[in-house]
Amino acid sequence: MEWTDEQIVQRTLNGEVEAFGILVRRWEKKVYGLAYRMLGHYEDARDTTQEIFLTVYRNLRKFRGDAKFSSWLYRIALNCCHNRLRERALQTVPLDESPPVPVDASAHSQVERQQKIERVRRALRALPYEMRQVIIMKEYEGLTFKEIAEILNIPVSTAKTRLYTGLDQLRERLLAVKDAL
Amino acid sequence: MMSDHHEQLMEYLYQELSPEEARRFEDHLGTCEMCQKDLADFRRLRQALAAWDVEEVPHISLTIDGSPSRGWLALWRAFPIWMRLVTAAAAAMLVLALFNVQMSYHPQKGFQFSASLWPRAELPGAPQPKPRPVGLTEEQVTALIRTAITQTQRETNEQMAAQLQALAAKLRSENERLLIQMANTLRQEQEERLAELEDQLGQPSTVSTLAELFWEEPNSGY
Repeated sequence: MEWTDEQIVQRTLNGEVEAFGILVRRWEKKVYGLAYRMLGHYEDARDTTQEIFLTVYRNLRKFRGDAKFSSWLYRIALNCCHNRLRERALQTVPLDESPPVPVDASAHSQVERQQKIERVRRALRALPYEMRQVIIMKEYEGLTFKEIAEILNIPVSTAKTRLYTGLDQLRERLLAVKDAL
Repeated sequence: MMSDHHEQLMEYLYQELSPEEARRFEDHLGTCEMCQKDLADFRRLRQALAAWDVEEVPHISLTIDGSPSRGWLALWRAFPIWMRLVTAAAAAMLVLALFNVQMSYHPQKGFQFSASLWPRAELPGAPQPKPRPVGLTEEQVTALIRTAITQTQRETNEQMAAQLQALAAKLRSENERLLIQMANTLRQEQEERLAELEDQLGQPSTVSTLAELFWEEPNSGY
């Protein structure tokens, strides 16, 4: 039988620190994906992911189980990403970081695909933060509108509206570029 | 203001409508060109978004120590009961001292406690101790200091002498012990050697040890 997140939290709180490792392994890909897409920077995403899990560990006693652990985790993750973006804005670190060029970049289709991804990344990053986070949570994290609403503490209809507006703006930005879609 | 159809479109796009709701929305789609265009565009948009995947997740390593509060708690639990009681009493005394708590007991009134943020002597209205008159001259002070220094030197010398005597006695006793030990060892070796010789000769000797052959007994009269 697989332990639920909430059971693992309880085991960790009971002094089984190693149990927390199960949670990290279970969620690291999702959390890193969220951080990477929110921040658009590999190293920032890695550091922020570590920070997210440390914050979760230090605040584990505050998790009361009213909501799902995943919702609580995502809330902390988004806060950490938001803080990192704010710090970076103050430090004026360049936002742009192209992903590593694949070894077989000479292949035309590969280059074309990479260019499309880069356009999507730029268009996403240009969106207002509130819309970007909803699109990322919906599209990449596969959360339901209800879960997104719970994480962001907003009505469900607002979550849908933000997604529609975000997609609409994304469409406008990408349609301005020929063959972007 | 956002129309209800936009919200439904989002739910339809991400398949969150119930079958009945989806069927009703499809009825609407058949008549609304704007929703049809939105749906087609957003589906293409989703394909473009899906291309951006995270291929490699770096290894996330966390260095987690027990929180400070847990560490203190574990330390507290490791204490035996008596040590917990002593620690608690010491903490209580410290708190009482910080607040200048005074405790008194009267046979009729029982125990009485009073606390203050200031030391008793600084309480308004509290009687202040009278300062002693200072009437010593400089020579007298110098003489007192000399006497004190002499006294200290004498005490130090006496202590060192006592320590030296104790050390010498200890060394003597240690030397004696080592000599006795060496003599015993030697005697034992000689006895063993003699036993071997007796075995080789096949007849017992009247001499018990080599020491008896060459050494004279201390109480032999010489």
